[in-house]
Amino acid sequence: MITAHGRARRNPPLSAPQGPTTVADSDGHPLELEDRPIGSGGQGSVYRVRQSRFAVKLIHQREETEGLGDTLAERLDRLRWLPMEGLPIARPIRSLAPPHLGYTMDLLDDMASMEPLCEAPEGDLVEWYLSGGGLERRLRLLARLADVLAVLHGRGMVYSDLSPRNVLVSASQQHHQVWLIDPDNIAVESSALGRAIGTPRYMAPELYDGRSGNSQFSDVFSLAVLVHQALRADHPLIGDLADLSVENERRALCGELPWTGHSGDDRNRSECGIPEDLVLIARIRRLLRDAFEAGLNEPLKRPTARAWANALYAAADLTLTCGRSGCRGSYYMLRNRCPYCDAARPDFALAMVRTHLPANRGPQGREPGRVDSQEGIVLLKDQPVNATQRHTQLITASAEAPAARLRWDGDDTVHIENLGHVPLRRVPPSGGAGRRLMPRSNATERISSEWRLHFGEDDQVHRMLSFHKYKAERA
Amino acid sequence: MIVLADVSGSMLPNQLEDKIGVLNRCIASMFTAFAQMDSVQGQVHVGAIAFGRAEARLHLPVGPAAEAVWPAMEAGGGTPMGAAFDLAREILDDPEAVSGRAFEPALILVSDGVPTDDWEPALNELLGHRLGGKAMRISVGIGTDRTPDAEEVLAQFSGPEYGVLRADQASELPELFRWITDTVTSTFRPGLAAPNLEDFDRA
Ligand SMILES: Nc1ncnc2c1ncn2[C@@H]1O[C@H](COP(=O)(O)OP(=O)(O)OP(=O)(O)O)[C@@H](O)[C@H]1O
Ligand SMILES: [Mg+2]
Ligand SMILES: [Zn+2]
Ligand SMILES: [Zn+2]
Repeated sequence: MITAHGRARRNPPLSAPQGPTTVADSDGHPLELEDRPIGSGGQGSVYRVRQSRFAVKLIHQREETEGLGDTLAERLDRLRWLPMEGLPIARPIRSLAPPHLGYTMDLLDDMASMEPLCEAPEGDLVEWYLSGGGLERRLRLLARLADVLAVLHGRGMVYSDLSPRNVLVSASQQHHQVWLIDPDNIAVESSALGRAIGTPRYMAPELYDGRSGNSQFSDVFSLAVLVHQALRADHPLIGDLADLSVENERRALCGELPWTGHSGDDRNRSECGIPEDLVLIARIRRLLRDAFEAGLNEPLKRPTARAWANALYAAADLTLTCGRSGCRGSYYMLRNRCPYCDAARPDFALAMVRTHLPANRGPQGREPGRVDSQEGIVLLKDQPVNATQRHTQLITASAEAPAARLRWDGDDTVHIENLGHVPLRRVPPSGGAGRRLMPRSNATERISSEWRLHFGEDDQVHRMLSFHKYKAERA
Repeated sequence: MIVLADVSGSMLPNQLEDKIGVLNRCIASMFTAFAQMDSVQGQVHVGAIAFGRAEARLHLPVGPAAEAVWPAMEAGGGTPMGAAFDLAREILDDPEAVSGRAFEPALILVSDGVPTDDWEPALNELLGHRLGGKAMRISVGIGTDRTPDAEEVLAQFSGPEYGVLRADQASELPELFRWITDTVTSTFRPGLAAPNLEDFDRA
């Protein structure tokens, strides 16, 4: 039903080199490596250490990198002192003893590169898109990735080489874990500015021609490209004009051509990729425009990693999965039918996120009021979903900390469990203090009675959820 | 809406972040959003006070958001917040600036440090003021190294309704200002209409 195809490739794949079988770490402990690397890239190969939970990254020591060797060893050593605690980043644990160059790190099991989710095949895209988990899974993984980057940036660091190869995601479609690997190029912002590192096609324009070095702004450019690749299955700068010649492609990547979705210049439109109305929503469109239009050559105008995380999480919450068995499609609840199999959208309930403003503080004066948001949580029959702090707090340091578990019975009842540490309030339409729901306790309410769930007291600004039902379109 | 912006030396760009630069962009885009609002509810009027060095200055006189052009603020010197509170009160007393406006006044205080002047009497006078007391007051604290004193002045300014909005890094400011913009400009609804699904995809 949907026809979408991927752009033809130019780059040949790399072949994996064969390495040594035993190395030693800096304490002299021998590490026996498996014969074949888990994977290899431009800088080195990663091996599983036999019978352990560790992996070894072995940096290729080719002639031409010989000179770099020393500083590289020093840099790897310094890496261990950067504030990466608690972040899902495969950190170096120990350096390798000479003559080898590299380090040991935790082995990430059951994780796979994000590359297959970002690099579209040349032919038909729909099967590929759905087999990678479709829209919802992509949004959730991208949101997690943006979140990790936001925390990294918050601690004053730059990742430098963000590309799908350096992002590992849960191999299982049921999970949405994200880890960054290849920490070799992480640096504090001040020292990152002195160099320009990156993966072709994911690098910010200012890095190509040496106008500037790596920064949080070049990181968020890479992030925006990754988001576009994963969602639209197409490169935001390589449209049909850029694809005409190698020179045009170079100009596009250097920021000299309009991006494919430019609001006023359609010279470089793309006829490839997943149609945008299937996979984008206003908030994401806006961020893409800020990143590739205003922000193309003005790094300061690019959306921050935090803005991306918020928008991507919010978008994921608005998706639902097709109810027809065998169809793996997921799509925004705005559509009446599944775009992949044309089945009617299933019934759903929506927990709408609003902000409560206390009395005497709004434009109209005395009454307490509410500010609507464009955020909500889609609830499908009997599929529990957690509202987290990003729904229930105005500002939070732990966006993904669970606040309340919500389950809709498919009819008129919503079950709530308080997963937080403070009481919640269930308030009837007539207002008042409502009934308290203590931490770890459960309650049920009827949607038709128009109650709402408050995450704060009425004399303070706070978030609240109201519940609404939407019926499927009957054919 | 009057923004009271800290332009003290600690807001200067350093190797890690450019607080003053980010703040300039946030305020400019907030005012642009106000200017683009449909005018059914009336126009938002905006102005700004910058406090740094030894004084608080009127950085942008109060006027319609559509006509405001944001001149970038520069940082340096102390944190004369008390002087900024005094200036805010003077503006609220100016009938040109506030009379007949469609919206109740809103005061946004943004700071990353401790006032270097005697702020308490000035704040008490502002809060005791006819309009200052009932204005929507929001304070934004930037950075994680704020002392209890710095926190105290922000908390007293905003009162318990809003508390202090915290941006641990300057990079969190844009999202925070986006929320402030939404809050000030959203249609204020007493009821809870069922949402139109299309609204979730509105630009
Ligand atoms: N900690 C780990 N656990 C499991 N697999 C890993 C781990 N680190 C890396 N890998 C795998 O090894 C592959 C190569 O890793 P890495 O990106 O570090 O190599 P590289 O030579 O730096 O590549 P490039 O230079 O292209 O970035 C990855 O694609 C990933 O599949
Ligand atoms: Mg790599
Ligand atoms: Zn094509
Ligand atoms: Zn379907």
